[in-house]
Order: sequence, then structure tokens, then C-alpha cells
Amino acid sequence: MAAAVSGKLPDVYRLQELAKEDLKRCLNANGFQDKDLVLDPDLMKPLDRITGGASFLKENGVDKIFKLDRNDRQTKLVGRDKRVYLVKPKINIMKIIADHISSEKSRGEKRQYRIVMVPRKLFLCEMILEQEGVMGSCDLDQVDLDLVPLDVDILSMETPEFFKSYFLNNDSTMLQTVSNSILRIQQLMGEIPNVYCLGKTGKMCYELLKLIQGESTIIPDYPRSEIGHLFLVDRGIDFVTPLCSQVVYEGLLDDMFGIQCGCVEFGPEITQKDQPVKIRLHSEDQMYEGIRNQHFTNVFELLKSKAQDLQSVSDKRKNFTKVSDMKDFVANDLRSLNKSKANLSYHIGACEQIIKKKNKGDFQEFMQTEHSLLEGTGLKENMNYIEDSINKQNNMTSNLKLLCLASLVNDGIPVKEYKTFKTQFAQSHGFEQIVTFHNLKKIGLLREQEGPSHSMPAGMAALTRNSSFKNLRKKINLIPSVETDLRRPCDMSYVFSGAYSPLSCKLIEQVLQKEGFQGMDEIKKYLPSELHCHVRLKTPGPKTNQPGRAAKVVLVYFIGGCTYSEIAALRFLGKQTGYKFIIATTSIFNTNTFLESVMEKPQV
Amino acid sequence: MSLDEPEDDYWTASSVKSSKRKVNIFDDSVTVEAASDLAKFQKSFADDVEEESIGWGDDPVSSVAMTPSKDPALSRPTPSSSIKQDSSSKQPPASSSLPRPSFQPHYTDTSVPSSSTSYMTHSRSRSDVIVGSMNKMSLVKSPSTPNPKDIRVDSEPDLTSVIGNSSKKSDSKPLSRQEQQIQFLEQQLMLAKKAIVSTQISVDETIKRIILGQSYSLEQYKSKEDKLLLLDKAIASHDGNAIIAAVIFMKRTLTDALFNLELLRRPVAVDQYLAYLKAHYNLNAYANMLEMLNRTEELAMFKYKQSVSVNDPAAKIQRVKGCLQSYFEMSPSLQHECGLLKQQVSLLERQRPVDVGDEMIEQEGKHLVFRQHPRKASIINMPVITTLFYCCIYHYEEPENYLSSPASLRKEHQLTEKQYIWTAVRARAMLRRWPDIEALFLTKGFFGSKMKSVIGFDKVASILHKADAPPEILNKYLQLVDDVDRRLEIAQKMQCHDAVIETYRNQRDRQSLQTYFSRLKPNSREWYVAQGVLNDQTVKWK
Repeated sequence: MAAAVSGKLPDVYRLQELAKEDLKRCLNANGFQDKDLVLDPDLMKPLDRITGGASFLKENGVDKIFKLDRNDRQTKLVGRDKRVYLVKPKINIMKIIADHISSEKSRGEKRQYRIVMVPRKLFLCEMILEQEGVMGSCDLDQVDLDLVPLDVDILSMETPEFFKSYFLNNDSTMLQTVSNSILRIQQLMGEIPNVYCLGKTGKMCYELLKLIQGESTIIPDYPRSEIGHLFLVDRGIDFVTPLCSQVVYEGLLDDMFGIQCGCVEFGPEITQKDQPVKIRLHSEDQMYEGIRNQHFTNVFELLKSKAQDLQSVSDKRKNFTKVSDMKDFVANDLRSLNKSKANLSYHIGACEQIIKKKNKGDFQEFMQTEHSLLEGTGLKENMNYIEDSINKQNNMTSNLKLLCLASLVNDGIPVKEYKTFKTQFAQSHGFEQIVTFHNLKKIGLLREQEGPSHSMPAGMAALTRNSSFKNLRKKINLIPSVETDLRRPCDMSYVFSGAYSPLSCKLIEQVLQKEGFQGMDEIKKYLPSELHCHVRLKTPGPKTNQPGRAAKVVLVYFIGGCTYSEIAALRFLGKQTGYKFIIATTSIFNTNTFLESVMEKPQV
Repeated sequence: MSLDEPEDDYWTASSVKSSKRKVNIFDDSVTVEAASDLAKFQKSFADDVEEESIGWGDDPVSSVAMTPSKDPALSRPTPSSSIKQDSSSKQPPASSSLPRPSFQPHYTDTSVPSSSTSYMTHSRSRSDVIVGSMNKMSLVKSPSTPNPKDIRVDSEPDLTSVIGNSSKKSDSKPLSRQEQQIQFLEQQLMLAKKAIVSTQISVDETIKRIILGQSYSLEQYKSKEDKLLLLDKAIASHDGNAIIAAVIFMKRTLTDALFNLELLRRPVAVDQYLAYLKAHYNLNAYANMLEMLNRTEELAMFKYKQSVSVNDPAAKIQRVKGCLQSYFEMSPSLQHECGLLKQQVSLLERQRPVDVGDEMIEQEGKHLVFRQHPRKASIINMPVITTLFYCCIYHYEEPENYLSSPASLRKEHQLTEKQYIWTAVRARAMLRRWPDIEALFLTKGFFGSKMKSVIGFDKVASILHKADAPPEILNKYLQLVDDVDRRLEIAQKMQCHDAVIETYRNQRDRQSLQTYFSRLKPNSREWYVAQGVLNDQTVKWK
């Protein structure tokens, strides 16, 4: 462990190296030199990111790579006499593998099998393999591949299924992976002295972490730890933020094109090529780094000035008089210039698409409704707008999003309105959607207000009474009182056009200021879940950079997923306060992917 | 031995070595082993037999329950027989033609049952542990030492290490063998004595092993109290994997009544169990569990989801009806859902005949509207509003007693005026039937007829604009927007110049009209219109 330099971003790619090493061990253990690999499609992107492509697999003796098809259990795989399955520990996958093994055995094929489960072996999977009678014929292993470094400050587990599994089905199997990944970070970077759990799940993960850690004989050297603070954020503490329309560039890219494992794919309408182009989004790309966290209004201008810069570099060659200058230019600048040009044109194309989309339909009114819901104004108009949107059969997910927002900020929708919305929603989007309503109720995203059934006027009165969100809004200034300059923002609310500061990030800001929850009793009352902290290295006073203090590096772990807007807000907070933030999450989602994971699929 | 030696050779070699060593140890440690074994049996065999005799049916079973064999005669095996079984159980991997890719103790456990019956009656007792550690030894000896992580020790670590050490020494220093053995035996005896007092690994330790992915055994937890403690500790650990392992173990080793009783007291375990049943497609058990838990709504939703998973409308109608009767109707809290499900049934019952009829009409090709706007898809399984749109396209004028008439659909589903207007305007605008749209808003009042709309004429105008309505139609509706500023705003956005010009004229706002005129394309139609208004002497400008 290197001595912690306060405020320096620790190198998260060390985690990638560890994962790679472990993968290497798994592939080569027990004399598995030349083998085929059967890969779970869900693992392809993370694996690509970790290993940097198929060459790593080839170097480790993988001959053929098959994709495990979840729907087709009949496929015959031919190949070598050794085979490694690299899969997520899921019951249906185990059954497919068991089918492979037993049918190959019955055909008399001699083969050695190893099943590597990512990130760990599960009791139920072993049970299935045993029941299917293949336990003796295969060899089980697990590989520590959980957090994938997507950038210098983003670690994602890339498990979007976490949200449904934990928040809808109450299946806590994946919590251990969260705790285990923190353990590994601590093994690399030292035990994190100050831990803050926002929400019940955060506390659970922390307790599980302590259990895994066990009684350590080594006394941790807290001041030397590279990370000074750990936030375990239960997604359940803030469902509002993921439902807000994103307006920072990176968030918009995710909304429009879907960012997967830190990569975005642009189609032919942007690239003017037949094949879609895949672009890695990361901070080494200077141009992208300059725009990713910006409010969309700035992005076009920045791209324009960037384009002019490039043009002037490009024009340089017109003035060449000597051949050597030209040679120099071709050798050094040309390639990068062309690459930057292509890159720039993609982002300009993406911006055009975004603008096109926003100009269609009633985007303005939609945003207005969203903002006034957050502010708690114009309730009647908002309800009317939602009703109209449903009646018009507007996009189902955006209708649902407004309903959820209305419910979250008002502690539920009044009974009568709730019933009307539900009926009309089912009539517009199919009766199967009552299952979606049921799911959302179970999670706490959408529900009717408690108490006896109200008539309309009384219902509206109920809407205007103090809700938890309304109190939180006041207590921690979620709605900025002054207007934010979106070009030179002075407040993190810029990530939502200055209309709202993400609750999750605002809480982090507050806690970090005090290094604890002092004076937050009022706030605690209105949060849907408990707070818990364990502070072992306080850093009072302004001179926080002195040795012996906790490093000014903060790991924020979102359990259940987070959005790019929240990442942007934390990066902004980092710039404001001098803290360095590393964001870890079970997955990065946007409103659509967030809601769709728990929605009933439409029938037609 | 190098890594690339064929597996079979590897196995023969190592098993020969280990069996040799094994004879060594076992011969000497027979009594100790037997002592601890016997001690364990005396303690636990009685309930063991009883529990094993319970039929598990299709319940999930883990390693030990997989073995069908139980031979009461073997309840008290003589020490030597137990040992022999052990050593013979060691052989099969070597002699069998199946290559065994791994030599981990964990897997050996599961392969043993097929070859040795008496062995399994003990479940995972002490002798089991020895086999495990023997495996480890042979692995350690071979040059292809796997990562330490692979070796999962199935017993208290101290025991394993003792065996490992002593055997190594006895190999290298044959002269002091006797001495070594005495020492070893003494240690064994001590351990065995300790084992008699507490044969169990603590629950905490077991839970930790599950969480860490190390090998473990739950079979030692025979008493109900132990099982419950195991479950409670698992719940306290927050690890779903540990919880489900404990739950499944309890399911397997307690009567259904006891299992249910204890499970129901622990909501966290219940949820974990339900998640498992669902993932395992054990849907009947899942439904039964929900019923037992009295989670009416969840059960109803689950059943409903199942019943709408078919596409055939006739089957779907039957299923939803059945579901309504059995799961929704008797529950007062599901009254609202009940109404919606009834609507769904009635909708499907309507969609079928309409779809069949329209298909015939379309094929005949007599109806103009079907020729001009061929149906894109069947309406079956479409939502109510989509069906309404469809009916407004193809069956607009039909009287209410027709199944396919929009009016009858509206009545049946108690659609609001708003719902109806949004959809009807959209449909008729698509067909460019402007008079139909006007008729929708025309209300006869005391002083003649008046245009009135529940959704606001700005919204009507925007539907018409999307449908590419001609300017005069658009203008007509824009003029009905009361708020002048709003009217100007949307008229300009829609590029409906007539509406803008007319509004300025009505406002007598010459200045604004002048500005607007200057921005119009010279000599275009609207340019002339604006010019005409500006030159109109009859207008009294402000």
C-alpha cells in the first residue's frame, strides 16, 4: 500500500489487474491448457473491458469461444476435450450446462468440464448440478470479477438485474458481492476509516463486510488508507433522482443511445456508415472529458469551438513549405487529427439527434410538469397533464415515470386519483399493466395515499399537506433559491437544469461536511430508511490535508444503481470541495432502464 | 509429475501413493477414529434414521439426501469396516474410466455415495473428514499445486494439519516412525476426546464458510434448535445465499408442518425462499406458499400473470375468468383490479368477432376505408384505447348496438369524455374527416350551437397540426383558443399564418402585424393575406 497522498485519486485499474490474474488462474488451473470457453452473454461486455479482448483468452489457452444460448438447450458444441464455462450463477444456466454435460456423456464424448461462476458459486447452483447428476463430472470454481473499472472514477458491477432481484423480490443474494468488492478495494487501498450508511441496505452491506473481514490481527493504519470515506447508499433512500429527466450530456447519451459498460454505439444516422460504431467513453478522451458533465445547452458551443481548433490544426498543413514539415505532420499529427475529427463528428451527430428528439412532442410541457412536481407547485395542472398523457397514449415509460414522481413527492397519490390513473393507464397500455402497478407498489415507487377514500376536493387537500419529500426539500435545499448559470454552475442542481439537486448527492454533501449525522435528526425523520455511521478518523478544522487525517478521497457505493446525472453531480461536488470521488455502483441506469426492469412487458 | 501428463496417469499415481499412506495412518489410528465415529453415532444416529426416512418427493435435495441407501444394519459399523469403506471409496476415481478433473475434497464427498453405502449413513462424520484431508495431501505432494483457494478443508484446520505433518515426516524419516506415531496418536486421541464433547463446528463458523465460498456441511445440525440457530444466524448475516442454504436444509430435514411454522416466523427467510421457488420454476409451491402467507394480492397477481401469458384470446378469456373467480372476487382489497379484469374479458370478447368480421370485409374489398387504410395488425390483445382508435377508423358511424361501434365500446368501458375525444379526433383527423371532428365539439345550447371541448382547443389544434390539416381548418380551431398569447404562440409554432394574422387583426394590433408581415416570405399566399389586412380600411387599428 502506497502512502496515501491526500486527495489523489487512487488507481482503480489495479482492481482490473486483480480480476485478470484471478481469471488467468481459473482458466489454467488443474492442467487446463488447451480448452474451449463457453461464455455467458451477460459477461461478454465486462470481460471485454477487463481483459481487453479475445487475445487475452487466446494467450491463456482458449481455442474456441462459444456463446451460451439461454433459449437453446439443444445446441451441440464440438471442440476440445476440455471446456470452461464462464457464467453468472443462475439456475437456468446451470440446467443448460447440465444438459450439455449429460448429453455429451451419453454420446460417449470424453471431456473435462470446469464451471466458473462469476462472481461466486451459489448454493442453489451447486444443488442443481448435483440434482442433475453432473456434479462429479465437472469442476467448480469462482472468479473475483465484480467491479469493472469503467473510468478512473467509475466502478460498476454491471448487474442491472440487481435492482429487481433485491428491491422487488427481496432476494439478498447479491449483497455479499457488494461487501466482497469493498473488501477487495480495502485490501488494495487500505481499510477505509470513515463509513456512512445511507439506508438500511447500506448498513446490511457494511455488517456483512465486517463479517467477511473477521477479526483482523493487523491494526489498520487509517491515515495511510488511500480512501478516507465510504458511503454506502441504499437506492431506496432516493428514488426521486433516477426518475428525473437527464440533461447533462453523458446522461442524455445514456437516455438516447444507451451506454453499456462505458461504451456507446452510434447507428448509421450519426456515423453515415453501414456499420454502427462503438465508442468508448472515458476521461482519456480530452474532448469528451470536456463535455460529458456539461449541461446540454453548453455542449454545442463547446463542440463548435473544438471543431474550430481542429480546423486550424488541419489548416496548418496548407502553410507547409518544407517537405520535412509535411513529413513531420503526417508522422505525428495526422492520425490523431483524423481520429479526433471522426470522434467530434459523432458527438455532433449525437447532439443533433438529441435536439431532434426533444423538439418532437411536448417536451417543454413535460419538463415543466416534472419540475413543478419536484417543486410541489401547480398540482392540479400536473394531474391534468398526467391524465392527458395517459389518454393520448404517450410513451408508457414516461407516463409511468410521472406517476411515480407524483407519488414519491406526495407520499402517494390520493385514492380516487390513483384509481382513475390506474384504470386509464390499463385502458391505454393494456390490462397486464396492473402487474406493473403491483410491482411498483411493492418497491414503494407508486402507491395510493393511506387513509379513507377521499372525494376530489379532499383528495387535493391531501396532496397539498406536508409530505416527507416536501420536508426534505426544505431541510436540505433541494430546490435552489437562486437561479443557476448553466454555463458556469455554482450549484450541483445544474445537472437538472437548476430545478433540483439530487437528494442522494445532497445528503452526501451534508454528511461529508460534518463527517457524521450531527444535526440531521430532522432530516432523518423524513428519510424512508435509516442512517448509520462509523467514523474512526475525524478530520476537524480546515487543515484537512495534514498527515494523520483521513484521505480526502470518497468512495460512494450506490447499492441498486445510479445515474450519470448523479455521477456528474458528485464530480461537481468534488471540484467544489476538494474531495475526490470514486463512484461504485451495481449498475448505471437511466429512467427507462430503471423502470423497465420492474415493468410488465407490453403484450404487443 | 508434470502438468501435461494425462489425467488418468495422474490419478493412478496419486491414488496409489495416497492409499499407501492411508494404510499407514488408518492402521494406526483405527481406534481413535472409531471412537470419535462411534461417539458421534451414539449421539445422532437415532434421529438420523428417522429423518432420512421422510420422503422428500420432488423437493430440492442437496448432497446427502441424494443417496437413497440407508442400511440400518450398518448403524454400528466395526471400526475396521468403516475404515475399509473409506479406503475403498478412495479407489473408484482411479479405476473408473471417467476422468476426474478435480480432486477437491468437496466433490469427493458427493461421489462417494455411489460406491460406498455404509459410509453415507454417517452423513458427513469424522471419517468423511479424513478422506477430505487425504485428498488435500495428495494434491500438496504433486507438483501441480493448485492455488490454496482451491483446497477447501472440510474439517477443523488443526486436525488436517496434524495429519498432513505427521505423514510427511513418516515418509522422510522412517526410523523415527514409531515415535512419530505415538505422538500422532496422542494428538489424535486428544482431538477425538475434544470431538466427543463438541463434534460441531460452531454455527457462526459454518455461516462464515458459506459466505466465503468455502466448503461446509450442515448435516451436523440435527436438533431443531441448531437448525433454527443456523437459520437465524444466516438471516443476521444478510447473505441470501446463506439464508437459502439454511432454508433448504430445514425444508429437507424437518416435517412440512414444522418447516412452515418456523419459516413463517421469519419474513426475510420467507422472501428468500419465495425468490428461490420462482427462479426454480417451482410455481405450484410458490403459489401455495403465498396462499399460506395470506398474501392475497401477490398470489392473485401471480396467477393473473400466468393466465395472460397465452396469446390465444379464447384461452385467455377462460383463464382470466377462472383467475377472477378463484383469486380476485372474494378479496375486497382487490375490488378495483377485479373490475379491470372484467373489462379485459369483455374487451377480448369484443375483439374476437370484430376481428373476424373485419378480416372478411377487408378481403371482399368493398369498403373504401379498408382499401385506403389497410389494417396493419389484428386488434386482438390490444388495449382499450387502441381498440377505440381502430373502431373510430373503421366503424365510426355504426349505431351503439353494434359490437364494433365506438359508442358501444365507450359505454362498456365507461370511458371519460376526455379519453373519447383524444382518440376520436386523432382517428378522424387521420382520415381527414373534418366535419366529423366539428360535430364532436358542437353542442346545442339555449342560444344556438356552440363549440366546446373538454381537452382545450389548443390540444385539438395540435392533433390537427400533426395530422397535416389544411390551414383554414387549423385556423378555425386556433381561433377557439381563448388565451390570445397562447393562441399566438402555438399558431406561430405551427406556422399557421392565417391564425396569426387573424388574431392580430382582431386585436387591432397593427404594429405586431407589421412586424410579422416583414418576416413572411414575399409574394407567398400568407404575405398577400397579411398585406390585404394591413391595407384594409375597415379595420380600426389601435
